[in-house]
Amino acid sequence: MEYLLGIDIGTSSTKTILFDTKGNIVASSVEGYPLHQPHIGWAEQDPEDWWHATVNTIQEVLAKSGVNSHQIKGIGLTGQMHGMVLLDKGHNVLRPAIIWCDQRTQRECEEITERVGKEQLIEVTANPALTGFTASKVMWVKNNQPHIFDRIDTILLPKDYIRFKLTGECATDVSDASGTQFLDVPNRKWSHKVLEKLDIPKEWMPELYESPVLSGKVSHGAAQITGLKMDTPVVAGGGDQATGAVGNGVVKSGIISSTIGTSGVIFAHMDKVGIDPHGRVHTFCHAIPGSWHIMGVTQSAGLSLQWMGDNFGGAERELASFMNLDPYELMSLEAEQAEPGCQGLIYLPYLMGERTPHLDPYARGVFFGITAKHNRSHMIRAVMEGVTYSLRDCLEIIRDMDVPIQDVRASGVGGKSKLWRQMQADIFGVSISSINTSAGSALGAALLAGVGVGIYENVNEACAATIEKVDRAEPIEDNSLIYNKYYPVYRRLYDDLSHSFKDIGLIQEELNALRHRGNE
Amino acid sequence: MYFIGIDLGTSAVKILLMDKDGIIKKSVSREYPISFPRPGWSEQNPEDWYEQTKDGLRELLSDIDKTKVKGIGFGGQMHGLVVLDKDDNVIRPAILWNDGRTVQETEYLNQEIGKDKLSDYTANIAFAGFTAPKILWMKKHEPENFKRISKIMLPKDYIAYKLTGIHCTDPSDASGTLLFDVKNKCWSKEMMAICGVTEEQLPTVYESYQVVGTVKEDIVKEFGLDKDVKVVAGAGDNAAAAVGTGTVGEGKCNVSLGTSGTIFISSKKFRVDKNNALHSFAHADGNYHLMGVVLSAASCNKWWMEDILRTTDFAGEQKNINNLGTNQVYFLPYLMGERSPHNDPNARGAFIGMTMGTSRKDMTLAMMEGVAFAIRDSYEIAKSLGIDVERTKMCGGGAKSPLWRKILANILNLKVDILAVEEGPALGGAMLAAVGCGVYSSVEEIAEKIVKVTETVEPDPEIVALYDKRYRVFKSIYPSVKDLFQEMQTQD
Repeated sequence: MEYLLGIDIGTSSTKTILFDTKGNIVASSVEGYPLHQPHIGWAEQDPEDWWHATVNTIQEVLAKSGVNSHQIKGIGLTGQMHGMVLLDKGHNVLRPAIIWCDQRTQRECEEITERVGKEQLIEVTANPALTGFTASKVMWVKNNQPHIFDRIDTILLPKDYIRFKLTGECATDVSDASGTQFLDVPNRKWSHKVLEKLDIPKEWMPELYESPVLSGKVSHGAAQITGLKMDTPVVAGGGDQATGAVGNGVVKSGIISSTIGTSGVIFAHMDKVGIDPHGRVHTFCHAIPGSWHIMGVTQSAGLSLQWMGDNFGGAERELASFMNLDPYELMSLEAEQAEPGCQGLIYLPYLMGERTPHLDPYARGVFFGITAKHNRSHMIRAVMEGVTYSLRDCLEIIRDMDVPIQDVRASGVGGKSKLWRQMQADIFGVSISSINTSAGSALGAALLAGVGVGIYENVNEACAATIEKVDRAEPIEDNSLIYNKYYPVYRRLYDDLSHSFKDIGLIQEELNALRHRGNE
Repeated sequence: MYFIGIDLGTSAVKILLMDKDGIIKKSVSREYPISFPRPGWSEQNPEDWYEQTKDGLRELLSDIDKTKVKGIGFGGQMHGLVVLDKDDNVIRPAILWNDGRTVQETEYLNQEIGKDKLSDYTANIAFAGFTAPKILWMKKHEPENFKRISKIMLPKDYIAYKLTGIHCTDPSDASGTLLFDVKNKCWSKEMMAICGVTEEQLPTVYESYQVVGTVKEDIVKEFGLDKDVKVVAGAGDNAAAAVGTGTVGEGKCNVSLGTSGTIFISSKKFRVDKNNALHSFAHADGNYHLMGVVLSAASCNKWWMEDILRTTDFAGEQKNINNLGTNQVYFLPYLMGERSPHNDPNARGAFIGMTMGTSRKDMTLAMMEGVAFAIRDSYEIAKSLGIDVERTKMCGGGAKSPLWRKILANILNLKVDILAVEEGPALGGAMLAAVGCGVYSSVEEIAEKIVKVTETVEPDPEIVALYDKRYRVFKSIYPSVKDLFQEMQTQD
């Protein structure tokens, strides 16, 4: 038997899954790590935490499966995108990684826009300057920690740090590199122009590959620590969005995925590169050579429900642990008690600012339209509906760019929950399917490895060999009618409140500044 | 010497016995039913009020020296329409303050007659709960009944009438009819004409502490009272409660956080704001008062704790909250629409400004701050009319929360006094009786002598400055979403 290993360096945990060549999960292992928030809006992680989690989960997968490591034909890497890992000449980590959801770099974004020019930035990198993207994080270090900036030798993304630890190679792939803002996305190569304008040496950029291409082999040292066989091929892999799309079979025009993870993503395949001139949706290189993808992101999707659960779901957690259930299943049951539209209780999911469609780091969460009749079940359902309205925002922009929408595949929490699948069908007004696997990114990474080592001819073949549709939710007309009434209200709510968001944010910045001064 | 205070509430009548030093000797209460013959309608039978009041009085007087009772005073639910025919029969059940059938009549008064004129005539604008729209409703929908009307009165006045045979009311309660010229303290000719009633049908207006008569002989006998028990006019429940908390004279303030919240500011001068955002009423001390009403106050807390958090440990949820002034979340407390200052029945509640760092405590704090900000909205209007307020009392269920006291003190930038006893309108009624019987020279004097403060919460200048900033944001939110409230209403 031949096997493929997918390793996904997520935001809350690393997930390592061993697949057979039919895409079946043979064994999997997850290990979590902390997210550090030294200030409001900051988000950092320790790359060593990722590596420890990777080592432990590989060991556990090998132990659980009983598979001999020489049967593992290839390894695919994937992970959270945009995170900045800085290495010095000796390949030591220079500071904690500043990860995708960190919001400290508004000023740097302005600086990047000014240096490169707004239009050129969108033309070349396919995106406006965004706080989440790597470039602004590097510029922040330049502006605020010059002693660290001066020692930079290599800039890596999260999964690429794991590649370095496994193989000793500093490399990345085009899909993940699309999230750095250093890549010339239409031409699939580092943009010397952007790097020059930002005064960042191009030597700091790692080797760049297409996703299914071999990038290195497991080193002797890594083999000893992990139990993998030395020289096992490691392919370039992809950012979690691109590999997640592969794992969902979003590898052809007309297929769209809707993924509710920590963030929520609407993802479409494109045969030709297309760019939203407003930069509200992101155009990235896909993990399939010669194709691109377009992506709308709602920053706090599953995160919203998690926030709700963490703060208000104590009883559900207790009961769930007693009944050996997922607490979110219980929250889902509560949500079902409320009617579609929640009698006008509307939630804006902007707990971490928002990307699509507002590009507004000041945006904040809102519960709006509350009356004395509303109870807990309405609040929970409103969160799910608000996240789904936000995904519809993404879908509408993609629709306006003439991308065909034929088959929307739900995955993540939104794919697992029957309620949420139906809600998506009702709010999007299209049928929603789900597929036979929920391994998502890790499967996509493993399939890329399978292509790289020649088990499958290409990515499309790999998906055809492993993925089938299993469930379909059609829109219920009565529900769509209600949602179509509230969606415009949802849309206007942001417009009406955006200046208040800014006011709140400015007061907060003022208070932070006062506090800093007080501490000095 | 004893005085009886009768508070004719919506669910029950509360009766208490007070001695001349303000010590409460005894109190009883009796419930009566409320009927909702159609959705939004709300009625009670005046005979039930009287029967239960008599039953309560019997118990109250059962083991005391009845001859020491010298006077009776009232507080009572306001706005209710009581109509008697020429033989003193109740024509139809009383239509209560919380009855919503008069939407059209209210709109007619505010739109066709016009708010400016109403404000000119009465110092107020029309609300569905007020008495004048109820009279208009009756005129249109029950013309036969309307023709039979010989006497119009307010709920507590029905009890006074039964006890004394005098058809009377007081300026504070009369202010809530929208037939009363508050500034000049007389019935408004224009409003009488608009409603199709005459002065003969309306009660004679006495100051709240004035004696209107003595208890009728048969009742004196029935209860074994002294034959010269004096009855004073009493006051509407808000004004009577204000007397009980000592909110009388110039620039005194009381914030009550009950199911709904009120801010009550007494004033020796007549004042009215140009938008009629606050009620401008006559007061039971012979002067005036302004009042702002927040429709959902302590009920926000109850809703949040019971319906959302599903907890009964209110105090536990509020414990260890100490980031006053730096919370980033805002709450609009309009769970049932809002009265003051927006007068917007379509307004709804909202939490605004959450981030991933927002905790359950931040949300709880925001909810409590939102109610206090809404109170401040009314306070700011009163201040803009030139009233100088130095401190406020705080009462109602919300006043039991030490956190809410602190929040209110800092958001209003006022010292907050907590009272030793909180007896509501019944105590005010008894105090008015004591003044009427000449034991005290004025309402202000008795309030000063018997109302005792047990605790004062001082504002902290640093927190006050932080809240000033946040209040500006709070104030800007309603105008930006106002149209959406309206839009949502039309969609339901």
